[in-house]
Amino acid sequence: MELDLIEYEIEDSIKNKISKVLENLVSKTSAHIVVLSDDAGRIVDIKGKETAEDRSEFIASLMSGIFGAASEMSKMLSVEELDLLQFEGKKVDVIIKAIKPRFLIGILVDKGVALGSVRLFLREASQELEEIFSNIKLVPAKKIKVDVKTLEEKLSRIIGA
Amino acid sequence: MKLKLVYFGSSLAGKSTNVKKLYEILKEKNIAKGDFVNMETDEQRTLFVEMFVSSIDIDGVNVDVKILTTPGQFRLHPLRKVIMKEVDGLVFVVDSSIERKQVNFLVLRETAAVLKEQGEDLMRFPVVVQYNKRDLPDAMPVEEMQVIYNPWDTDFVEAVAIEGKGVLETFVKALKNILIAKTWKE
Repeated sequence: MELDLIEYEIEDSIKNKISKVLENLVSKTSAHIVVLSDDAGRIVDIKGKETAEDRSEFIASLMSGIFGAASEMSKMLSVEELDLLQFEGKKVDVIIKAIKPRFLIGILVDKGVALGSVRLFLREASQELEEIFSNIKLVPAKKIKVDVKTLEEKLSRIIGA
Repeated sequence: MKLKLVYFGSSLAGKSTNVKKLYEILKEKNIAKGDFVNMETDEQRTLFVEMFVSSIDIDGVNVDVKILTTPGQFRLHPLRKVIMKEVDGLVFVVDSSIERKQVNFLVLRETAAVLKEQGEDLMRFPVVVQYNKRDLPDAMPVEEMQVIYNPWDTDFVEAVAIEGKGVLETFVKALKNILIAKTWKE
């Protein structure tokens, strides 16, 4: 039996809109990095000085993990649903904010940048992103046929098992 | 395509060993991206997560798999829930020792409950069961373990992860099951 293996991507016009919102946020806050991911830590887009793919994947995963852990704690303590998490380092400060329906935006700024204004710009960006996400469409970027019976052999060949 | 594969199992079942070995093997083959990230306690026990990313090209379709472990210690249940969020596939690492018979089962039950909270059914989810530590003198027979830990008869692999045996085979089967499940869903 053959199945279609499809790689989906966000529409180009939507991608550009997201990209502009993040670039705008970086420029307003002089952020090191702005990461937009889903709540499982899969990157949607990233802007800033450090955007090497492998490191940013880990940063996104840890942000989703930290936010998820804090959300679990909020539930246990019966406090209201977590919307924003902030922590301060020696050199950088980090803010992570939830974006509906199930995304997260994380921002790393240098110590000394006014966090009040960062939070304000972050809220503005979040509202814009929520509006964009309400109209999001995924389009198939690549499609291949895979035979279920031979898929394991194919993967073994590729991975070298 | 971005996938999330999580190794779960009881404390000291060999989840970290599996993922570390897998990273070493895939790094050598140039299909692991970047570093291996781990957050351990002073006793080298997983505190939060261990992870790395593998990038595979399947006939022009790029598949990035993020491979993570859950912490096995009982007290870290809330963190396991966080790591399992939106997971695409699972590897259930079972300690073959007869002494761990009960605790393996409790972990399976806990994981089923976590998935249920996410609206998923473990019995219909892409899972591979790995019977690890097959070299132990008190290892239970696979037939006996199949009844307890694999009642839905998904793929299983016998392994000695510390020697690298069965590690890659488990990964290939997990990836296959995820791709099939994703294709069906779509």
